[in-house]
Amino acid sequence: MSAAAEGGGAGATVPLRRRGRITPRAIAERWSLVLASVAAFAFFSAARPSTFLTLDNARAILDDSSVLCVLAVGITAILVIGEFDLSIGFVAGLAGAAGVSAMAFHDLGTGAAVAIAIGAGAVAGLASGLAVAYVRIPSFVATLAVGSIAAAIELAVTKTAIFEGLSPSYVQIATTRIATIPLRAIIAAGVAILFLVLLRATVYGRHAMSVGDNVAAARFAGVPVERIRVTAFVLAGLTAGLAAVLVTSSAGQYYPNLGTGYLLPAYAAAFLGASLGGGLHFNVLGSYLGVLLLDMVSTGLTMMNQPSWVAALVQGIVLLVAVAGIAIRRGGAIGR
Amino acid sequence: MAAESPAWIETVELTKRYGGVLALDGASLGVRAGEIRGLVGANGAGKSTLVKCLTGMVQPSAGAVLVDGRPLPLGRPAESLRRGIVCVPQELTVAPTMTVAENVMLGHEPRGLLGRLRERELRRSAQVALSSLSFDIPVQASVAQLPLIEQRLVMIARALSYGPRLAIFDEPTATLSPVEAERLLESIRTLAGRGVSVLYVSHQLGEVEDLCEAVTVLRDGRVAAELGRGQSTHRVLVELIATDRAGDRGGRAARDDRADREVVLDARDVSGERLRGVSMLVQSGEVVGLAGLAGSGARELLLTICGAIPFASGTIEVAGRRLRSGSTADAVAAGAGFLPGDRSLGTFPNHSVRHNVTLPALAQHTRVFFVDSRSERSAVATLLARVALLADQEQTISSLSGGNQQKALVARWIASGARLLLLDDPTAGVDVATRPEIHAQIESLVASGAAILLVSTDVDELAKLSDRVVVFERGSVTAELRDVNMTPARVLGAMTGRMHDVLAPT
Repeated sequence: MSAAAEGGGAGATVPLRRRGRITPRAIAERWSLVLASVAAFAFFSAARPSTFLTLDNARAILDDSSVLCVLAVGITAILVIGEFDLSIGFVAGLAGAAGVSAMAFHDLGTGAAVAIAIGAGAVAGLASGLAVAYVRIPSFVATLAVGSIAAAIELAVTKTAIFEGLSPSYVQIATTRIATIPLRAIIAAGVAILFLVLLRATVYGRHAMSVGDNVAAARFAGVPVERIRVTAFVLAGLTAGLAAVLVTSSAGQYYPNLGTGYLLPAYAAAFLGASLGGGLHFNVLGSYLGVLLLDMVSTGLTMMNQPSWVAALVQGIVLLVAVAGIAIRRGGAIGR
Repeated sequence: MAAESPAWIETVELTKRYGGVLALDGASLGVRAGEIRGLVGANGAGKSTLVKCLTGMVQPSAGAVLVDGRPLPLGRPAESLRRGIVCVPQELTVAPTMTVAENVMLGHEPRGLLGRLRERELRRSAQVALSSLSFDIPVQASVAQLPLIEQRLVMIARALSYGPRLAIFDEPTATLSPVEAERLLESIRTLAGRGVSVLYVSHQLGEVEDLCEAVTVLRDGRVAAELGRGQSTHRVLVELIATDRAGDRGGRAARDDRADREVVLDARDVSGERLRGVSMLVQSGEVVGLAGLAGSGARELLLTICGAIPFASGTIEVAGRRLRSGSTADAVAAGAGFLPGDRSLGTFPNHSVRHNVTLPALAQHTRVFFVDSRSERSAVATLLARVALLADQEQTISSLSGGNQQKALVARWIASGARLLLLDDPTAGVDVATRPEIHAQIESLVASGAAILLVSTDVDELAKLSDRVVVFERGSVTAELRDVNMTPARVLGAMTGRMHDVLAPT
């Protein structure tokens, strides 16, 4: 009976492995992000061999991109559960103000300042998480509100002043190199690995991905959906706090609104990263690579003496092409 | 009786094939002007396919629809609408924040120059459509403030605002109270009195008997009978829809009454939005069917137990553990597993079979903090063999057939050691060939000591799998059928509210 053949009575079907289909097109879709990164690297290396293709430049790119890496990895935890966080830039600003002012005005040490910055980020994340999970405010709105409040507190406390007087050991976070690799780059890679393992290999990660894929089914399977949501926002808050530490230690000072410029590039990187694997699934490795690609493009173009708007234009086009290719094939539904 | 006017709309040998399945197999019927025609049949008999062929939502594989003797272009909704065929769907599709008038005229608002909305004309047209139902609803009220029946009337008025010649009603009284239902039926009579033909699709056989001048019974995509008024009694309809075959022996073969049976579900006096003091005791190794029409409380009880719907009073214990109201995590932890036929409630479509199977049981495969994927893989391999699912566990689950996805869900609850399985129309999205396999899985779950609550819209399935069938109406248990009384026809009879017609003398 044809119904059996079609509907797949168990005896009749040994389904094809989806992973097994190897066509040039499938490879291109799956690895487009890596291919684009390699192509960008090759292009700029050929164009500016004496400046781009150097170890110093590689160190500089890794060091530069560390803040964005940490933030992009943090929002990946949010995107995986199917939510948004618009507050991270503002939260980073608040965290930076909290950490630096603790050091500058209350004579606290580097360790305490770092802890306060990261803790402030976590508290803001907790506020967003509670609002989303229990008050059921859409995350877009809740995080917009929390971000706005965080920015307000930041500016009220700092009166839009610049704080200096960081302890030398705090500044060393940005200047230390371990085996010639900048510490900030190591921290960013470490955070990425931590999140990678968390989302891939733990029960939390499995639960988070199930919430992002089908929240109704996750509930019926007994997944504590609310707790998963709160945790995701706290994780993103932690990374925002850490990003603030990386920014202020490198700048040697606190300055107002230090995080606001990072929001859009972080999302651009995460969406670029979602194309890794060919399925538009948000993933930590993709977000990390996405940041590196974006940074490579802007560094390379600057070295070629292009004005900064060219870099923004190219980054925008890269993002559109990467995501559109897959969206068209899958008929929409980004992130699912 | 007045001379029979000829039918103005006819379907001629309508056939619709979905893959290997014949949903409609040469169905012919004709409806006269001002006639109220009932359309009944079991689930899958072809009612909704027939309706969709008429409204143009579905392109039939063969056959024709004649309007005034001329063929209707098929598969084109706009054309059906132009010829005066409208359908009032079962689901409420109103825009709650908009006004009654806006809802009635939604999609064909009177326009002026440059698309300007002609407000006064809009209200007037809406008023005309509403008053033809002989109901008085303020056209300026916002729909969200109206009681359910009036929201339904707004939907009917929307259909009428197109000035139809044939109005198709799909289960319009579901979730209405009897008084409201009667008011609605009165409106439908008024409509027919004005010359509009009505095709009334319903499981509520009592209503069909009262309302319809003639009834068409569909079975397996064919017209099994056409009955005139007086012939279409509840008893006759039940027997035509659900034929008890010689093999139907009233439920499953009696199992040994083992002494080690224990109470798995103990629900006492549970009340909630749609439940009125329901109590139920289910033992391990028992299959209890829950029968009832939409909104009767059968499915609502299931969803309440698994924590998807909160309850206001009463207690629910699963395997001795008392459940908090509205906590799915509680229900799963106590050993309740929800197995829906609607895959959007069960599977994680972009995840592998392995992830789908082990999600509630991950703790078994966790060391310290990490999932031990080797132990997970070998457990899943064993489970898939047990449910006879031949698939790669790393495969994305949505690439499997509906039946195989369902088997993966069975494996999920075996893995988690669920004691009580809550089956919500488990074979709804499953092809005919895989159905027996799912049924076999259910039998094997019971044999291994699980207790099962089964909600199904398929009375054959209820009668076949259950040890007893509990019948719900308006949130309460109205009957319990077992042994010789538990045949498909008797279950259907009890569900549709005429107990005395169907119970065998005891």
